[in-house]
Amino acid sequence: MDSFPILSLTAYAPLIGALLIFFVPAFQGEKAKAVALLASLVSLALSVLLLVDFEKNAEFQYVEHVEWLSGVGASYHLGIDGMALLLIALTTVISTIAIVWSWDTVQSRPREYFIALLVLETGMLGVFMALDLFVFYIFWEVMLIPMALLIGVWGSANRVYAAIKFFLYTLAGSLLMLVGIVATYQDYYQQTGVRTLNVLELQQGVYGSTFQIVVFGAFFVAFAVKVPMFPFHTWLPDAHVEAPTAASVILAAVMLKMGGYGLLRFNLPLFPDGSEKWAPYIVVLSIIAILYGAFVALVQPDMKKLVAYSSVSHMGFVTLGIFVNIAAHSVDNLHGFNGAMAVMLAHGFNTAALFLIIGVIYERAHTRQIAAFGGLARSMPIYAAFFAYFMFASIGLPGLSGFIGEFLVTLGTWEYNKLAAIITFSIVIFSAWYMMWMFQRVVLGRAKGEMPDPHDGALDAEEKAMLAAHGDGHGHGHGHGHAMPAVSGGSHDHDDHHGADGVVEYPDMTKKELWTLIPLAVLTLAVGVYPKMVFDYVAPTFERILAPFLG
Amino acid sequence: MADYLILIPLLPLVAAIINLLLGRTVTRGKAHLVSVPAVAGSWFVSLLVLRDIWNTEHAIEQKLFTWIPSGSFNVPVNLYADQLTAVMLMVVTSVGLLVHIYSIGYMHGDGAYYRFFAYLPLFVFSMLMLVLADNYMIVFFFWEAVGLCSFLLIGYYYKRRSAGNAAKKAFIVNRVGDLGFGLGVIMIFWTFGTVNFWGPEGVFARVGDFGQTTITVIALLLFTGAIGKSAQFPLHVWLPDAMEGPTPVSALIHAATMVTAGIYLVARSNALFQASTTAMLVVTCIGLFTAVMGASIAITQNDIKRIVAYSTVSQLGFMAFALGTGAWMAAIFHLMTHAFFKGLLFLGCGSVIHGMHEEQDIQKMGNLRKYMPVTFLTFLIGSLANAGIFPLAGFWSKDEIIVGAWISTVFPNFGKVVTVLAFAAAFMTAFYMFRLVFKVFFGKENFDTEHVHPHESPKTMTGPLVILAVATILIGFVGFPPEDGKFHHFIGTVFESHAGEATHAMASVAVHNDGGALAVMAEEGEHGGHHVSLAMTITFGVISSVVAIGGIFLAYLYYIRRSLSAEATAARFNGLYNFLYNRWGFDTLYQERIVAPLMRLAYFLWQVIDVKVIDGTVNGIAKGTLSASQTLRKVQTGVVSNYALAIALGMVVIIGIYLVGFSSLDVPFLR
Repeated sequence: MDSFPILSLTAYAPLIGALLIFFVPAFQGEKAKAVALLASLVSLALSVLLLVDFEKNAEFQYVEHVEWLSGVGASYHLGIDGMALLLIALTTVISTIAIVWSWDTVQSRPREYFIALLVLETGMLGVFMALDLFVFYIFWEVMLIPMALLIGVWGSANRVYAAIKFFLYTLAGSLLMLVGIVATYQDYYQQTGVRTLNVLELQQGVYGSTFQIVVFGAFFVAFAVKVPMFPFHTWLPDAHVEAPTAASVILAAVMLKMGGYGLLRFNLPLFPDGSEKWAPYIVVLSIIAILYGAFVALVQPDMKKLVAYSSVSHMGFVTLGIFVNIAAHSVDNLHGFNGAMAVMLAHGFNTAALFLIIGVIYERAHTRQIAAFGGLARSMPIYAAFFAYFMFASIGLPGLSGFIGEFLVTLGTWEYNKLAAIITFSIVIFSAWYMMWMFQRVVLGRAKGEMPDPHDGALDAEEKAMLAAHGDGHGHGHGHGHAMPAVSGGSHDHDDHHGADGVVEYPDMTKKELWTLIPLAVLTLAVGVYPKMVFDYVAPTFERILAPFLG
Repeated sequence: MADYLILIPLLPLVAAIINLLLGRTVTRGKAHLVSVPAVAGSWFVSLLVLRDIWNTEHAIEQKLFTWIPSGSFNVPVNLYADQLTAVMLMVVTSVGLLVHIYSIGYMHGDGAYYRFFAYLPLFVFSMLMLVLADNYMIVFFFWEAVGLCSFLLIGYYYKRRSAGNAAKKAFIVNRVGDLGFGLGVIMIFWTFGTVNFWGPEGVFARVGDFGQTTITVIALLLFTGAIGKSAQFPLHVWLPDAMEGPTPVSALIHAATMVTAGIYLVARSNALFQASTTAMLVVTCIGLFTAVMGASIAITQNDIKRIVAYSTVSQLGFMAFALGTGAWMAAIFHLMTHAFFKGLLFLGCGSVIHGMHEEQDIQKMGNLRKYMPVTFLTFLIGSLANAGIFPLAGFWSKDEIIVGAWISTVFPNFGKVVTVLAFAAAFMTAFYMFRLVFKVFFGKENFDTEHVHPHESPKTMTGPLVILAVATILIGFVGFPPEDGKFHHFIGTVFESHAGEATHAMASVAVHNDGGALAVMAEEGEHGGHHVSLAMTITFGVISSVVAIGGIFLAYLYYIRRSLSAEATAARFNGLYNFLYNRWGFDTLYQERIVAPLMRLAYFLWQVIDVKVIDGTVNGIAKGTLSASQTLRKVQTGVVSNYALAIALGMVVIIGIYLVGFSSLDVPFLR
């Protein structure tokens, strides 16, 4: 398929869908979502084709190189290696899921909403394909706008603040990166007399040590905001809390990965000296992020904020993995890179799923406050099962995807610094703590308005009083399924969810909701049990990236 | 050969998957028809494996696939069964099968019957994989997997707040241990370059190549995992709470099998531990302390399951210090006998609770032997075994542990101290066990006989009780004559095979010690070797019996003859009583000194660092630019092409500025 522009087709299929919805009157209204789904499915199918067809070596493949703005040295230049390919596949899967999810959840301006989603997908795919800094930067910015709109228009109460915060944070980073791009461009021109924005050419350049340190910093801030690394992370909780579910899913699953991708694609190959100088500090910041995110997540009253802070923690493993490799200077140490890649994918699956899971209950109760829920397992057993599944995936249960990456990153860290590895790995305790505590309060226990179990060992005074008043005896059975006497009142104001006995009940997951979660469940299991299929794609890429550091 | 090894874990896995996916719609109340045959099949294949290994004296291997391939870190999933594994397979599948059968009756009518019969075989699968693993990484994998099953089953009655708390606590406390275990695996990799057990490049063959300190640290990290999983001090606090799970779960997971994973891990890693006296000393001290502490707490508790749970903590302590003193075979022997008699005791508890309509307080029972004769008789056998009465299973193995400590060549002097304290723990064991038996099955009914009508349990429940009781009577004889029985000859090679490979002198002496008879010969050589060993064994057997009978007699005085008053004793030693009753205060200590401060730290990080410091700064900058952005907002038309154009233009402008001005800038500090 040498001449067939499969990458462009993959990237622009969603954009074509967006244009159709925008210009063709017949595709506006109900048909808009069908067009959107079809467009994203085309991208998905093409990315699967790419996965099958890709040759697992370090070369950039399916390269498209078209002269464009040759005066400036920019050209339309796309190409992918194994790392980009996996992230492209992640993007198409997540985008399709986001569109399916949005099928019946978007009430206002559905047409514009789906256009925004599709433009966003094109932007994200372009970012992972671009081999020219000019093209990269355009896609990078293109992606920013629909996301800000999704948050600002379709978000919840405080959406404008969150959208602006997201926009400004990211823009500030982007502008620094732009300065960095221009500086690199100029320096390369001075070295060689060639004006180019081709990444593969630029990384042949030899940049001065000071230059590397400074310009590395400019790129780094842009990507660190995206990751987001402590202390550039505070846009994330706000953005997630306000964003509609589908936007949260894309934000967490794909957009955060661009930070890690950018560091691997640009910072390391362009500025090896700068990378080495910065590595120890980034390692420290990453470890702070890992623990800090977990601790702050522990005390969040809002489920989305909790998962947002957990993202800060998980993504800390990505930056840690990337830079601990550099800091360790070890020929043997690909574990950090491999781990970082595995974390990116795992976080993509698991956090996307967790945001969908929060979305499921938000659609029913219109709140995300942990305190508003309890005992959902009673009326929503399937929901409870998925919740538990992705909780364990997220806290690194071996066999599900979350474990592989975080373990490998710790393995890589041990070679660099044992104390750092010990601190890092203590996350196994804290991640279990914040997730399980949320799970317990939301899914386990009594449903709101439900009478306490008479065998509950931890009744408080109020509950005992209620039991005594209703005179519930010690029946048969084993503490399950007691027909509790009706209780009036119950919790807050969701009267429409009260069952006959005053217990707050919600309908279990719909077919649509199931079909957004099942693919993620399968993927997280597949990667967890057989991570070889990931490493086969990326190992050659990482060997290429690491090579300059071993000389 | 031996491609059938995979069947052992595969059958329960398939059953679990079927019930997980189809339980709600298809198998429902018939879920046991899937799970019980699967585990029975697994048991049968395990028996074949045992026979093969017995006959050939060779381990059986089956290679599957590569789990993690990350450069030099290559983790294969292979199954490997040697003598130690074969013993574990038999324990897990035998007790597992009986518990499955028992659960048909016990869980009958439960609203989520299928869920129970999905989790239970899932556990059996995980536990079998744990003992079949041939490298540390896969052990860790299934170490976590059994933790998952434990979480799911402790929290089975999810509506109870206490069940949710207990499930969460169990998982998190175990994760503290897993932190150590995981780091141990990592250190093993960076030390040995592999995590595989076997072969010339494997860990066990090359222990001697590395320094004492390295090996000690590795051993202690692994033992940290064992402390969590096997409920040793100071991470024992989760196990008594885990009794929130259905009683068959307590029998299978929290008494017979999962909690012995830590003991198994240390025994499996004996090559590492034998090379470090420090590690052995730590294992001994932790185990001994746990044995005494658990027994002392059990004396004062009133919840029938909690008493047996603390008994489990204590017995696991026995196994741990047996490992530490080098009595490897005695530890595994006790692991095996304990699995049967403690499984029996828990299932007996379940029968009592079932017959008493969910009552667990032994103060509200009494005279149950009249109503539940089969439960009584089998429970009595279990109790006698736990107390260490001749000739039941517990007698042989516990006695061997105590003798092992006495003749320990790892700590020739300290071993004597261990023995004395072990006798103290054994005395308390006999006492609390018969305090329980007397209060539950003897005396007069302490419940409202008008409303509560205790009844014997159905056959699916009493059947397994009887089988386990028979096993409890007989299983001890596989270790007869003491230290020289069939069991010892079978499993001995596991602990001897490293003798030639370990370079430390200490290690080879320790190996002699677990050779039992050999060790005694070395110790008492001038008196004529093996015969003295027998005489010594008999001596210790007599002392053990006196201690156990003494404990039972004291319980008799307190609770049957009532010539001693428990209330008066408790009042007299009020401080000690409360100390024991409050379980040495560990839960309060952890709550106040660890959980609460960490929560305060979390709030500080959130409210001060995140909200005030970082967001304060960001919002400050934002306010400054707000007016500007209000103006710029009008430029935003929402049309993407406009933005793209604007971005391109902006870039051109910046490049222009750069070309003109930036290159001529001379910034000294950047040089």
